[in-house]
Amino acid sequence: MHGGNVTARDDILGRLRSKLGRNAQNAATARQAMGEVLERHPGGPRPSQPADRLAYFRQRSEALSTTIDEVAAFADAPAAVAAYLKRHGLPLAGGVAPGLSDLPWAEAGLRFEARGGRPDDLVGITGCFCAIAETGTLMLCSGHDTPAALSLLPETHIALVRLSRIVAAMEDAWQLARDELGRLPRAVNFVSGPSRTGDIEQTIVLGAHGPYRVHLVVIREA
Amino acid sequence: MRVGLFVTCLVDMMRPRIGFSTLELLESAGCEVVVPATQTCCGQPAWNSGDAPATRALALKLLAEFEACDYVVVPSGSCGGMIRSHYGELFARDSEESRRLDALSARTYELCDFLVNVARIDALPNADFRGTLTYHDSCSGLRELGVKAQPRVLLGKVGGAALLEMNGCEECCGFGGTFSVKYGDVSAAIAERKCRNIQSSGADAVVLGDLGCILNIEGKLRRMGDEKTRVLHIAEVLAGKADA
Amino acid sequence: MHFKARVGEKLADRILQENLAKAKPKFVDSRAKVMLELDDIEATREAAKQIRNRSLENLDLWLETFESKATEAGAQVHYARDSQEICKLVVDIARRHGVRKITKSKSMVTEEAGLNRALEAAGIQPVETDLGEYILQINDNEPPSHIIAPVFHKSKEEISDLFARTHNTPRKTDINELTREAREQLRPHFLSSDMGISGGNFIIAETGSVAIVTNEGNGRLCTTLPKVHVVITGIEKAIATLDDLSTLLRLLPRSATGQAITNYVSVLTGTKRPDEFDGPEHLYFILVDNGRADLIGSEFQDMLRCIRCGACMNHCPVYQTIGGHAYGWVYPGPMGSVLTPLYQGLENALDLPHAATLCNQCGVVCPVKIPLPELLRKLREKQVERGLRPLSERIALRAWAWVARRPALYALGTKIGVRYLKWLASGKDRIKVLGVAPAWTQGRDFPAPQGETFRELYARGQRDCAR
Repeated sequence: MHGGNVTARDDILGRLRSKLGRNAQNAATARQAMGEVLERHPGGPRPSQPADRLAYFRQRSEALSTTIDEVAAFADAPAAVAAYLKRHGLPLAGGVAPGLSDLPWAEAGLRFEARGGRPDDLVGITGCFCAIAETGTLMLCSGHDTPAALSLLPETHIALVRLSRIVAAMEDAWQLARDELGRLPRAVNFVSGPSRTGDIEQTIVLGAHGPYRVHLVVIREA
Repeated sequence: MRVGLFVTCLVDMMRPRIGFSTLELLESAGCEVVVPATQTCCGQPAWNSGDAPATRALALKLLAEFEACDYVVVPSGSCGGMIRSHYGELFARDSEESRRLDALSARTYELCDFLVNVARIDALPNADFRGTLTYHDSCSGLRELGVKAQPRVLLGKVGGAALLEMNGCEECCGFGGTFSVKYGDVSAAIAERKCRNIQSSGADAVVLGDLGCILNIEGKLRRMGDEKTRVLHIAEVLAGKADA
Repeated sequence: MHFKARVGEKLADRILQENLAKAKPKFVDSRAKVMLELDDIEATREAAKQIRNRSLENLDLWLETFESKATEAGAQVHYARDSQEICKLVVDIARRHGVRKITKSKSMVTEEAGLNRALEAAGIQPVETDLGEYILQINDNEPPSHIIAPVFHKSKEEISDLFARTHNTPRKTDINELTREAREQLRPHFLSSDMGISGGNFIIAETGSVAIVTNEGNGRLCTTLPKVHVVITGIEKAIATLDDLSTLLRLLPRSATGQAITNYVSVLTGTKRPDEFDGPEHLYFILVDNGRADLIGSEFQDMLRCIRCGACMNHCPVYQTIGGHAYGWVYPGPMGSVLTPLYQGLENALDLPHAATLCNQCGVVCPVKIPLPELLRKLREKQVERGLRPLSERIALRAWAWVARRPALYALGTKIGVRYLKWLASGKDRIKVLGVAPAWTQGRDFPAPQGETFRELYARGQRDCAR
């Protein structure tokens, strides 16, 4: 059950128990308190936010060099994506998350295949589970319809974000996941802008190992 | 009110003028000041060197000397911080010693804190300084006792003086007690950064509340060839003894 | 080399001194600015402290909860007592899966273990993929000088030379271009590695997940593409819930790099699901003791709250002056000066607890409110208790304390002392060379005393005194 490594485990946990003065009685009391924490999962202090959540999400996203577009409905997204790609001289092809394959991509002159991310992709299009206004963050959940590498390997990551799915804070995102998914997907990736590094002389450079550009299309329809 | 003046061992040896300035400030604030003649050191050097038994002995000595006072006032954030923040850790929580030391700690104040928040003085009749000042926030006073606004409020009452804030006024000067001799080279290098900030402020004098930092900063400025920037204890400025 | 000798070397290193001077304000200023976004900084720090304490106070039970949740999700949980066990576990896992190349995301615990050397000895190629760690690896496995900015001590010119030399490419001086060159060098490694190793910023009992905080995206690549993922982290990193994670994430990136959030926060739970395109088929956790368990229940337990943000070193006047390498082990700055003696043995790091001014700049910026100066002072106390201080220091301290308890003797001693110092100054306001403390006057003058003690003057009824 613990590989060939039972002794290290027993030794470490045994020492922890003895240092903590563990006995059956205090273990039972502690487990009950822990059970309550897990059940209630109390949150900490949160920074306040302006009432206009979209405006705040936009402001926080743009501060991280994310660009944002808005359209009325999902059906309008492909044209907006096409316009963005043309504006920046980017390829009109790549991978799109299978969950979004039914949108009219071809009609907008785009050739996006529904699949996972590939090393040679220059553009990847995904949805998101939800987005977080406090930090301008996308919450991406891995799964068949939402492959993780699609937002990571390409130089440009485009994400469609439904306005009604922009929540205030990360705690709200976890609550949505608890309510809608039950158990967590293999990977929850919170993405806040293009990848970056400050390792050389603490100077921020965009596009380290992940995307150079993150572009969001906010869909206003409910 | 009866105020015990703990001058600190450094002031006693190196700059008695700071002690007399403090005495005058307290008296002109209307305090009855007592100066226990047997006072020596608060024990901080022993505490910071890891010698708890010696610290306990010195704490009890100071307790015996000052326990009868309504307040203890110290012209040093460092020694004041030792008494106020650390005396309570010296003995077992519920012990008699701990209870008495806690009571003493609660009545112990750094000079500026005392003048502003306890004595609530309005004016400084003898204060007079022609020129510009910059204030260095010594670490213990600032971070253990919350001495930040108090000295600035008081300096604002000094006729003729203008305060110019330096960059990094809250950064350590590198003194650190025994650190300054154990790691003299690092200590002097940190002091140099502090001195550059003092010089860049353009002030005629740097004012602060701890003699250890004064010795460090003055020593470094002079070694850097700066004969012009004065290094003053705030008590000297407030009591009008800066030109003594 | 002894700490003191290394310090001298670092102070004399002009390039290092220039680099430190350049880097210093960036972390400090950006942290100060972004902390203000929190409505109540102190309440948030207090909440973070409570979250960490809650884990540590029942660490055995939280680890058991984590273990059962992680196992349920398809991971295998191992424990390692020391560096040797970490290395053996990783090599065994690698061999089991026929791994020849490993891409590594940043992990300080693997630095503790010296894992790369062990992997190389076993014929397995480790590739560091964090830009800073990569730079160090190709520079002959130079150790990091900072826990979150491994090449804090290096200038871009030094990195330009290193890249041109190692990659055999034209020398680039633009940081953007240097970064792209590293990306292009490393991308093939990501695609061809069989195993990814990451650290873990937190492990979450509620879900059996690991949370990994990165900016570059290398952490995501290491944990998405290879078929095996090994998480190596300390046992103390357990937290209870996803909401606890949310609170800690308001402080960790802010304290570390002055960011409201890092680019990527990955919360990984179990292995690749049957219908997924990507993700590792095998997930292992190696939960490391290496000295941590013994701190539980001790007077140093507070240190285990540490979330490895680096704010203490960024704000430390000593670190700012000598950089990280002088500290001699994996962890520099105030947190390192506490951890190194605790993990490596008190007697093996006698200097570190004393290499601090106790200014408490570290304590006030620590996001989990670790009383670092207090812990350093306690380590000094342990040294005294165990008789580890030099005899001369012990005698001097004892003699001074003995005299300080005898007012008459003390008065006589100080009277003579100040007259001696006054005489040394020979009429000037300063002493150029102080025989009793030569380390002071090597870099500074020592201001002369007025000449008589306060107590002498006061006893004579004097109310004032001339210079």
